[in-house]
Amino acid sequence: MKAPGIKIKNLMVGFSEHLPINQIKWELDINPGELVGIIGPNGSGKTSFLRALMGDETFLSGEILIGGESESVQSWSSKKISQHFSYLPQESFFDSFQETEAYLRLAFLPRLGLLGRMSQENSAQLDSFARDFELSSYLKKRLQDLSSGERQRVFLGRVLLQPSQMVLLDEPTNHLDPNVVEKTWVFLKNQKNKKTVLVATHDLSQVERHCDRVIVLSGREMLFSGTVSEYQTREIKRLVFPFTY
Amino acid sequence: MNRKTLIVAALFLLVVAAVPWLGAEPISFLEMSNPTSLSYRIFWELRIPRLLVTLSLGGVLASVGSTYQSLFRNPLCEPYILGISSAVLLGVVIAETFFQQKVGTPLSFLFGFGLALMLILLLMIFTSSTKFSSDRVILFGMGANFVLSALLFLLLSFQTQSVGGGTLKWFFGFLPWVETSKAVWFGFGSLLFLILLMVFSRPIDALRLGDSVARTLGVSPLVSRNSYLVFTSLVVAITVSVSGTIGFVGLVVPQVCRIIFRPSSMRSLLLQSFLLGALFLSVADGISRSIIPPFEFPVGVITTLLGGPLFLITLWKKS
Repeated sequence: MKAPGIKIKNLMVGFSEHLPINQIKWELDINPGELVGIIGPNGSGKTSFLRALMGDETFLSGEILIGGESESVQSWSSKKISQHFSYLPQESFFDSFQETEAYLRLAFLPRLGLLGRMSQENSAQLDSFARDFELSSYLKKRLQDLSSGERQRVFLGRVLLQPSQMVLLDEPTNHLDPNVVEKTWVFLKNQKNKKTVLVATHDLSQVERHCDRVIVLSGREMLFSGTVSEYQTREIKRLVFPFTY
Repeated sequence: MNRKTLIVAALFLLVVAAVPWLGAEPISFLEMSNPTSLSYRIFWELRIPRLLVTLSLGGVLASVGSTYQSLFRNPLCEPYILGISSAVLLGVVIAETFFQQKVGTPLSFLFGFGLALMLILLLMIFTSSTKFSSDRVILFGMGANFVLSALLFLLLSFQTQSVGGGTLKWFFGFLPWVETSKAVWFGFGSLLFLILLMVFSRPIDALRLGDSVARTLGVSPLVSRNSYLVFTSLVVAITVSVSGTIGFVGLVVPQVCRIIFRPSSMRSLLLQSFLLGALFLSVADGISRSIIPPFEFPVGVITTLLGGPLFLITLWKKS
């Protein structure tokens, strides 16, 4: 399957039309297979934006079209959503007694057989992914026995392992040490053209180094969307994050 | 099969073999070969059916508990805490007080089930108005329990209150003596329930990761959570109509299972909870019948006395 592009038309999401403070307006195109960094101060709407992409917010107006689909994402069935998206929330829920391997298996949940058996192919995928992502030594450990950084890597692993065309990551490098942060970004960069990846993050330098596109949110409005060089030349960073200079 | 599973299986067999020998009337081993003897008849016509009902109820209570805990992502969630058991009880008592319907009649059951459904509907409305939060579900359950208990005591104050044989024993939970044929139905019913839950357990695994993530795993949180609630409330209504509200089995057993077995999926947790729940309730029943025979303590008192400290110990160990 080919990585899909995203077309956002005149989108407004929020709790109520009468509460403008919770409304967010966007108009935007994302090319297939791009690595997109979403940056902006706390409360600028990064999480809402990611959730809106998979139809998890209340749409007040507008639509989001993914790939060649004619139907806007908010009316998709859960099955269709599962074929397109994998999502890492900012705070992950987990069962603390579960072992890492069982947790990672959840990536293939929609594809498990009736008796819960994982196909040999998926099983091999899990093993090789665990090796690449350096999770092999955690596989038999309970999630509660891992450190928060190790656990975050497992959560991230589940999302990247999931066979989907679009990956939505909400601050994926939280709790991670600089080495792992670097490896994660390189891994995401290697997904280029295979998957469309959107990352909400505060890691401005990594975004500039690795991303194809930058989206800047501020005050729940979209301030900018464009390539990294456009972003750098227009000095938007100075506007949004004045204290980083 | 690992060592823990074997130990629990051995314990299970031991308890199943031992519990029917406990009780008011001592069973003579020598008379067991004679089918017309009193011991033989008590053993096969009273104690074995009772054991079968106990195993079924214990299994069902614990597997429903583990389902609720995962559905709401909170170890405190179970039908008892959420007020669903109390709603059934109130329905049963209403049927008895105003319509002279004895417990066990179809109308009594319908009242119980109906009230449970109404409470679940309220819970759905309560949780759908905002983003889902398991804390709100617990608070809802507390509020519901207060109101339902008050209503129950209001109704009971019109009745003669007596513990043991009377209405009050429904509050504590007890195990009924039933005929063999009925007990066999219970056995089959509870196994069918377990199998259905196990076959359709995958959405629960997804819901444990949060509603948004569940959607990316092909599960509609609203539809699946509500379907499980309605389906299990039917079963809760049956168990409460049979045995009153037996506390702590659904709360403690799944927790202990998680700690001992580290289940890798909801499917294993359901099976383990069922077995350990059946074991736990049988032990409690054995104790309730052998403290001061022929007096029989309500089994719910024993499960709470055993389960309460066990619950506190798991909490302490976790922190």
